[in-house]
Amino acid sequence: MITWNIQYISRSRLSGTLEQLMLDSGKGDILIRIHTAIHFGDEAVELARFIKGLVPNAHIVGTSTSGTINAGKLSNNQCIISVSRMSTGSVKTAMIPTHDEKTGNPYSTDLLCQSVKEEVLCDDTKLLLTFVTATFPGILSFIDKCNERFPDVKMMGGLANVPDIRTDRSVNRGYVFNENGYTNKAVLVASINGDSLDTMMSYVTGAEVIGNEMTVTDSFGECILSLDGNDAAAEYRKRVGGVLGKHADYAYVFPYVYADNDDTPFLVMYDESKSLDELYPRDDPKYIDMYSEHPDVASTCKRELIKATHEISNGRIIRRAFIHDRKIVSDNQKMFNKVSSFEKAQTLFGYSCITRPNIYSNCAKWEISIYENTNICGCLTGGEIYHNGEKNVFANCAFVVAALGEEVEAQAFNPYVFLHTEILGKDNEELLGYLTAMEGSRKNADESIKEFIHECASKLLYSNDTGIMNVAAMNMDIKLKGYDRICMISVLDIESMNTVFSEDFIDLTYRNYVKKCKLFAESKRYHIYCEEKWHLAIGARSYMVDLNEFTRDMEKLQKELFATNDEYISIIPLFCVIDNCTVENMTGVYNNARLTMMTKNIQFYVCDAKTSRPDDVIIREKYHMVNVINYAIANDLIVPQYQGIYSNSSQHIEHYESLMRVMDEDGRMYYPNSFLDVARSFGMLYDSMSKIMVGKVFEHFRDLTNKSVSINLGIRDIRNRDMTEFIYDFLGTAPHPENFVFEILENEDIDDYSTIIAFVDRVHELGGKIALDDFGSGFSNLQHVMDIHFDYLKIDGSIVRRCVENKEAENLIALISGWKKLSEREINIIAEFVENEDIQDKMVRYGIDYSQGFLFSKPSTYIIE
Amino acid sequence: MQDANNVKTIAVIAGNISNEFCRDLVEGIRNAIPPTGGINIAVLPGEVLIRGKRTENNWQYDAMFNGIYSLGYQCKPDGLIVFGGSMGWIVEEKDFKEFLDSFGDIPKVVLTSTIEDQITVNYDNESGIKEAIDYLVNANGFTKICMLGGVETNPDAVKRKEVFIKCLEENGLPFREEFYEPTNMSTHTEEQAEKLLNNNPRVEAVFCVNDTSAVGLYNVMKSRELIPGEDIMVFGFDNTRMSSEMVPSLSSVGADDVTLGKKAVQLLIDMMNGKEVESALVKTRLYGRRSLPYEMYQYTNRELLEVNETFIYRMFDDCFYRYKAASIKSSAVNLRRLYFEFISKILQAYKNRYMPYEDYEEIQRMIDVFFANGAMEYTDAEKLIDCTNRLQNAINVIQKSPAVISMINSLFIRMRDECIRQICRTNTTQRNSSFSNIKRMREHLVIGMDYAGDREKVLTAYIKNLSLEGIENGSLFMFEKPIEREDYEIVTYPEELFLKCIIKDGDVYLTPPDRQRKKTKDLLRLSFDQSRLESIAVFPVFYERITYGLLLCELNDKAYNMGGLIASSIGINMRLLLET
Repeated sequence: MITWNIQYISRSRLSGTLEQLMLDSGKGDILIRIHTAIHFGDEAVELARFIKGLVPNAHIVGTSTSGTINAGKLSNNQCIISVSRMSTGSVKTAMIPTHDEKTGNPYSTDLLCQSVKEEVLCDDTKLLLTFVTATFPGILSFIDKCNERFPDVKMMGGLANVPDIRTDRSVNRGYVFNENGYTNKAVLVASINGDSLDTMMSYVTGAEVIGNEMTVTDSFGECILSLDGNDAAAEYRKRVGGVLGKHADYAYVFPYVYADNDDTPFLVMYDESKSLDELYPRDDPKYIDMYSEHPDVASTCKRELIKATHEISNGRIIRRAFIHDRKIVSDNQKMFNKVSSFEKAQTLFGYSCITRPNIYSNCAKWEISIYENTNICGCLTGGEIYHNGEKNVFANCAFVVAALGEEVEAQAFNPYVFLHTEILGKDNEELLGYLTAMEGSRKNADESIKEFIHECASKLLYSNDTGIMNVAAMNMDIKLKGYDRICMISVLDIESMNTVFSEDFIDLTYRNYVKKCKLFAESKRYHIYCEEKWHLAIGARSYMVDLNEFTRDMEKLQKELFATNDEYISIIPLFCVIDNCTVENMTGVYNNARLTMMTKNIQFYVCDAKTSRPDDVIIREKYHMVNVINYAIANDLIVPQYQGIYSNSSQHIEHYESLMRVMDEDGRMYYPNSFLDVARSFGMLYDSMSKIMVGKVFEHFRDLTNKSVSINLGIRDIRNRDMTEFIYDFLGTAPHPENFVFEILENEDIDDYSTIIAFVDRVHELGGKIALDDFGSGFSNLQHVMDIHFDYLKIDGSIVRRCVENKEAENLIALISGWKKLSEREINIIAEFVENEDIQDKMVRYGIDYSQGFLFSKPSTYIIE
Repeated sequence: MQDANNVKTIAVIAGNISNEFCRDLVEGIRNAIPPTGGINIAVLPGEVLIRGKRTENNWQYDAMFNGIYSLGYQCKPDGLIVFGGSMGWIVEEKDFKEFLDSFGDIPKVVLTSTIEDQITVNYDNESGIKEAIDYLVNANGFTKICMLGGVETNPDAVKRKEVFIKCLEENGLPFREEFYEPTNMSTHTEEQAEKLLNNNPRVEAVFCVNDTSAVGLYNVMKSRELIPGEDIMVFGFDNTRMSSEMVPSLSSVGADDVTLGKKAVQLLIDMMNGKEVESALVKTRLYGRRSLPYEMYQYTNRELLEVNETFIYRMFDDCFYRYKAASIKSSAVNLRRLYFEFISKILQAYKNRYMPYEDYEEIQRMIDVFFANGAMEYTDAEKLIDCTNRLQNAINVIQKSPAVISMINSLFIRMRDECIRQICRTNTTQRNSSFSNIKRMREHLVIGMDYAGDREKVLTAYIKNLSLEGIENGSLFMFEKPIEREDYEIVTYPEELFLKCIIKDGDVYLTPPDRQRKKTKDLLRLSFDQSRLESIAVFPVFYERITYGLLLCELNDKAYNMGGLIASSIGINMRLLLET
């Protein structure tokens, strides 16, 4: 069999399409299902006739509905026509009245079953599509009878409904139709038959039993009056929550199940504003029997009532259940496994209950989206008829899928949907609010419910008020449709907005922000998603849009959003365009990008997820270095080297700078530029190395009288009490503390002056000296010169090295030299990187006190005169 | 972002890059650069030195021009690619070896030449030629197949002749000398083509040793009212862009998967990373066009109906055959995927006999996007139209549903329309830009004419308006003093030169006098740092025997076609402003 699904747009489009399908070749029986949410009864019949005119041999079944299911989408204002042509099998349809035309009384279910059997059933019937109108009270017993009379036939279908279903009364307006007419008092059946036809059916309810078994001790029509002798409605309210009075809809979340069939929920409605008289007028002949059975019932006063969707007889054992997202997800997993492993899946039928999208609209959209690329077609009904593996049942709040076919064929399912269920954990805000409120108000509630509520709060699916897709949809687009250019848009600092502006004003601004983004995205045919409040994303496909074009568009949108307007709060949205996005890399890349944006203070950023991921070579090198350092620490391979510093006045080397080196096990030497950054990023490593180094230098120079040494210290060392204590102890006991100069690295940003000043003062107090290192590079800050009482100033090599060829560099040296002359402090200037005579000449000319560099001495493990 | 210290420079000693073959080689090299960056390409284009074949004047000009090769030594690049023809074909192997040795001991790859002890990359001449001749003999039953050959000193020409003879003999066709006529491999091959056709009046197919040499044959055939591809099958070698632009388009043997340039870059990068490599042969295949209709693949109905992913991608690779070798920026629209998306939608509709109107509109939009983003860059119009026709015909063979077929047909028509529209647009833009180019160059010439007397000022004004020459990105370096050389073949530029100006996005920035002085050895590195370009071409600015400086410009169409001319024009003006 082959199935085509067509959305009805116009008759001419429809006739064109049907012509295209070339159906009238007389090859096999044709079943046409029409589910419409846009036609009145007579219009629907017209449509059916029109189709019959085009495809004379078609068997047509039609229902009204509140929403259609087509290719994985749920739409509330469409009409869907599904055409299935059998290869060898046959189709039979019939519309059988449920009520006696003259008396208006319902026929007995026995009779009805008999008619169904006679009119459509064959020996090889595999599936019976059954749509019943809601006026028929005996649906449960009808199904039971069917199970008795033709136990091997699987049934599928439900109650026809119409849009805007709010109360049980409106369900009555649902109708079924074919080319001969429409009615709300009939059962419409279509048998699908054939030896080679195979079917399978599976269903999802998401209902989990939570209460104890209870026996219905008194019922009145569909109303359950007492359970285990207690007032049923009061008991229900107590268990489910007091807020039920205001939000009767939430009773959908807590249906009942029959104890013997506990994954088949039936919904109850809670109402405290009706009397029995209003629901069941005493003068209606239908209810005379009921009143005579309950002579004492209080029927006139308004009372708490719980009412099921069908008659409940006394003595039935029922349990309370709870429908929640996690169960929905796992049920769907199970169903998908069954459906997708069914071999003859040429056609998929899907019917879902109207209450599903009403309570958990995202859940419903999500579970249908699994069948996005398949030919699934169906609609929402007021309750489903399906085969639960043992027998046919009627249930509420179920989603049923049937797969059928005559030959082996697979549908293109979308299992990726399941990948995203974890992050579907955002909440339907309204419901969450209710559940939280309920939790607070219920002291004596069932503990089990309490647990569920917790889970609910963290797991419920997200349905925001913006009407745009959520993260799950985005991930799916990225994965399946090639949306790999994503622009993340976020507005920060909402908190501070809250302190200044009213909630309404903020809300107005928010809605305007979303609206602008949405309109813009739609006008450019991009997809837009809402991650959470104030955080949007816009997606484009790399095979449709050039990155530069996309970036330009996003810049334009940012400007538009930023354009000030008195009506709204000014917001500064951050835009981050990520190219080559995948579900896996997106978060990491975005976080990195956000960091970059923050440090650079930019509001628009473009990055490539492929290249912005850390290079594994670099990572490997980093870890290699960590190993080397660890090995060096453990095996005494941290080695100081000393470079002589030449005194331009005495023309001798009398001072040395100590330089740290690390050796590996093969004796290879590493220099600070290869290990210092790694060591710093693992702070503890740095501390250990530094301590070893300082200790070795102290040891080396302790007893020398005519040689002094400089030791490099970072800000981290000075903040490290362990280190400073070590230094103070040493200076206190050293014979010549004045031989020890501590070079404070100037290229680190010093933000904590008090610590440094305290250190400097203490060193001075103990007789040591202080030098300011790398003056003129990095975060050069003249403030250091004012605040730190140093004895030496070391001019950064990058200035010294260029002073011959670059006039500006030379001027800077002149400036420092001039400053020294003006200063009253006793300060010595050291120039490093003095590499040749030309530089040295300049240094001498500008009266620089010391020169350090290859011209005079290279770093060495020994002190060379 | 790559660390500036890790960026490597590859210098390319190329022949005349306005020549189709060299240009395609250079493009192949450029396209092979990994998109992650880290490698810069500096092309040092020369002229083909052929003493004796051209006037003495020409020879001297060419020799001056080739002085640029010395940068390959002076600038110390990290790697070097040398074209076999860069010295001209009339050189002894010994001389060429010496020439190669003059670049010192850096990783080197030599293209289209076999030199002992050097890593070389050459065409596997056999596979493509064999494919063509087998097809001519087996599928068409031809027996009279001739060849327009090349010069004896060109190793490829020699090899191709050998292969040609071998293939004929394998097919039971003994070779006779009159089947073969040597040429100089330029476009001027009319004389030899005449001779070949006269000697073989009933010739059925001609193999031209390269694409360029087919031009002469085409001219002769035209004068005899013979149509390539109908009266005589013709196929060339190299599969240059030119072959697709000839009328009728020329079938040609070209690199199959990897181009020569790409292979060379791969080997060179390996060498630069200290790996051992071996010389390589690049596999060839026949690219069928009008002068010898030939298709690698047939579309079967089964494949069409299966909507198979590999099949659609293969269709794309076959039709847009240049896409694979091109370096596609990752920011660009992914045309391959786009083609897959809309063709699979079409085939799906064909299979289902149903195309929703929304899909139809979406496919239309996709086709528009496809062509608007330069799909035609990667194929020839004829090739695309042929491919589209074949696909369309295959679909129309089984009329599954008239309505859906009419929709599909209208989509195919749209594809062809878009293809033609794009070509018209490109041609119009090209024509317009070449007109405005000439106007601007003239304007620049006038600025350089010295009426005012103050040479210094005129020179500054002339340099300031350098962008009028049409260079969007580049720079001009001058020597402190013009250098004059008596010996043409060995030129060494001074160690220092002066950066006069930088051109960025069409704006000229003059360099202040105190910052002009640069080291010649840093020339290439500096240029890449300043311009942020990844590939440049360097041309000498000279007049007669005096070289004034160097012109660096972004490697693009302008550089290929006009670079030499612009440099010469600047040279003339320098001469007028500095010497008279």
